[in-house]
Amino acid sequence: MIPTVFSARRIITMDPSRPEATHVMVSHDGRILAVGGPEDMQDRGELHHDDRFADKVLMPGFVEGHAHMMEGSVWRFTYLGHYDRVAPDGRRWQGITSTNALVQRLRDRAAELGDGPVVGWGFDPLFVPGDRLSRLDLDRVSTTRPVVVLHSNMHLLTANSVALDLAGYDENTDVPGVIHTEDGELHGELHEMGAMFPVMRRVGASFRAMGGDPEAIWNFARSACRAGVTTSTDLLNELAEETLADLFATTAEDGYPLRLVPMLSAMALPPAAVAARAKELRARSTDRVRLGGVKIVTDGSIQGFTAQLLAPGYHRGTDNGIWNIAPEALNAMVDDLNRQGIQMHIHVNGDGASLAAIEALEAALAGHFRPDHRHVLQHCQMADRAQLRRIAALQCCVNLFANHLYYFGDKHYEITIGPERACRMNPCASALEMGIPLAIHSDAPITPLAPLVTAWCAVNRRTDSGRQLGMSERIPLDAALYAITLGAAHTLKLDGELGSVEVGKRADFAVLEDDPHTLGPEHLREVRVWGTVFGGRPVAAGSF
Amino acid sequence: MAAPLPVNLLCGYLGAGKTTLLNRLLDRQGERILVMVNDFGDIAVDAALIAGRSADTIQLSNGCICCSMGGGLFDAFERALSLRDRVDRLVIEASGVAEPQRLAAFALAEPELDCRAVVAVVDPQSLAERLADPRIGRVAESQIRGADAVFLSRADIAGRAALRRAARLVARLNPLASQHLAPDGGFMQALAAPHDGRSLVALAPDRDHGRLFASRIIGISPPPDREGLAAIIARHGRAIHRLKGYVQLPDAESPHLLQLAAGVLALEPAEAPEGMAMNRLVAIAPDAEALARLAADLEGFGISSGTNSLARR
Repeated sequence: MIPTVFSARRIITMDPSRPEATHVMVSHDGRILAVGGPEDMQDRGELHHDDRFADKVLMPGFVEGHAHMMEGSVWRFTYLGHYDRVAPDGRRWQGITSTNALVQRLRDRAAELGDGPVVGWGFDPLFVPGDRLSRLDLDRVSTTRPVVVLHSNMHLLTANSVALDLAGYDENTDVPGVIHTEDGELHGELHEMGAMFPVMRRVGASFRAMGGDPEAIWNFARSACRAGVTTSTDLLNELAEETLADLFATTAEDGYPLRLVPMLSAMALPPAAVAARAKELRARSTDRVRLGGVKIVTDGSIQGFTAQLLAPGYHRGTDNGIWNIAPEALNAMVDDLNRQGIQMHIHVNGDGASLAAIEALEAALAGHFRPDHRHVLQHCQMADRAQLRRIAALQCCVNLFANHLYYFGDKHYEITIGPERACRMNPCASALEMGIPLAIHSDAPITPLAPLVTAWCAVNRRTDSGRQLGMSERIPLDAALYAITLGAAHTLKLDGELGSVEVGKRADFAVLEDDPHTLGPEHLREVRVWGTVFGGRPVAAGSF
Repeated sequence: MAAPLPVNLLCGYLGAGKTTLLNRLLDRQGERILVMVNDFGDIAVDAALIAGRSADTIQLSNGCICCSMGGGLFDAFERALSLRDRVDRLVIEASGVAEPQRLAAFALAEPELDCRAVVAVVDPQSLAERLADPRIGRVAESQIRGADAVFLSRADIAGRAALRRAARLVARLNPLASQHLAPDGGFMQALAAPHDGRSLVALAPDRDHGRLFASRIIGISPPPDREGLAAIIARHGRAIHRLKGYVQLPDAESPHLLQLAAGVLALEPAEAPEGMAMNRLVAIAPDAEALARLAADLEGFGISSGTNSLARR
């Protein structure tokens, strides 16, 4: 088999011994054989030269350390979010800025579908001026078919009269979360899962419909390819056998261009069975499905006021903090998994949750220290420097939610946690200063899957309105590029295999039209992505 | 279509005794119970206990009941509904950190489900400590506040003083809830009663909707006789959401349980739970003035009262 040499305008390798190159030689089975200039490709026998990237920039394929397969499935519903967004099929959806625009888009969609329910997702009423979206607005879409709009936080929906009627709701309904207007009519808004359930199950929009079937698995890869991502987590998966069968079969299909790292939900089975299941799964890993990690969810979200906050708590709004696992159960779970050598990814949004996780890890690691355990605190948005010092002492990693700075930064500044804490949240610079291995993430579909945008957020810390959220926690461009490649790979224990362009590693590349260093820190998010090279095979965005 | 599936919800923090109670319920004959188990905490033992039972067991595939990305609960309810024909009742053992309001909302909202009593299981010996815990005090409190019935577990080993203290703590947090020490006839009756969504809403106001409820403890000592009491309450029935308490009527030998719900007054002989104060009524209404008027009318007989808004804690 003849190796292929790709030439590029520039290759940013992330390998300090050879930070830049112009040529990379790739074996037929997708490994890097040589990196350097044209002269380094000599004397290797017969070579196939591929110069299609001669005017492009290559980087190691981006690694998304925290995203969800739902990014691949939620697009079966109609996008109604505030920000422009690109679907897996490449269609660019304009952000919704008015109720009329929303109604028109759903009307168009209703016509396209012909019959049956019309479901939208990603709506955020805070961004739409005028009266809050109601049943009556959605009745303008249809008075004969159910119309349901899921809000971006997935904790609210607005339904039209037909959908409400299907669920048996009327003006006499007295159920928590079913909202009425001042004059007692149904408003159309339903709050929280309980009230949403009867509507969602009757319009085919249950969360099961947003799971990982083969189409979703392919769509996830389509979104990833557009963003230059060649390895992505699916950071919470019950990994039932039927799910696994779909994952193995679909990713093994010819040309599937993504390495998936699904994390087993610790809540999917009895605590005593989690470690054994994780080990069993680890042994079943394939080239494209990497198993063995476990996800533990502690608290909720900051924007939903369900994160666990230490004093002084939320800036404005009611503290509605939740535990998804009891603190004692967390301690026991962390101790057991650590003892059994299972890598943990612990979701902690508020500083109360990160403190609980730190204490659990301290106890576990004091009882059984395991070198290079790489337990990761996921999100970890509000940890202060004192908590970070403890995280550093524990030799844990953090995967910070840099995208929040842009997408939710104004809300955090004005409403949820106030100016001081908003200006130090997602403290990338402090983490690096303390030597904590750092990744940054999108949590797609919560925010768009786009590591270069995520890097831009960490570098600039600018909100949607242009507000600067603290200067001291900004990180340099190169540090951000590291975080979306080797940094994220490190948190997945894949840094020996991918994350940089080095001999022996996987030939997974992000192919860029623009050079991040030429555009510079301010314009990093404008870098255009051509697609990827996956295992040595070029994959143009939109080509599959 | 089959009748809606009756649902009971068992809440309570880790170690409160939920699984023990559940197993005692399953031991009873004659009812086909579908159990929804939420796999948290020491459930490894619990699952083993339940596995051998004749009732079908559904394990929540995702224990994270209030999770922002959770699909597990949806699936679990779907599955429960698909088994409707094979069971008489659904009992959900909630996670130790589940807030009953969030779970009860499913059963209240879904037309194919019939929300019956929400039960908070409480370990009398650790209750005070739980409530004071900065991490879980709030959820422990919400479990009691959201319940129709509170089951004090381990009554046989708890000791009378601990039981009394726990009963008093519970009564202070949720004076409307009945209290039980054993899964006896009275408890089974309480289980079958419909969930009192109104008191639940009152005790945990819908903050997004800005609805305010006020509660007031009205002491009536000595109480008027039966007719006098009924007459006073009848004048205020429309304005008062709920009224409940144990009274020692001058013309009766044993204590009576007084309950006003949906404008209907019930006054039945009943044994007051351990530690429950006599002749103290808790009243809930949308506006505090209605409560003040009721208190004033009862004042000829009453001595103490105090109003507090439940909108913020």
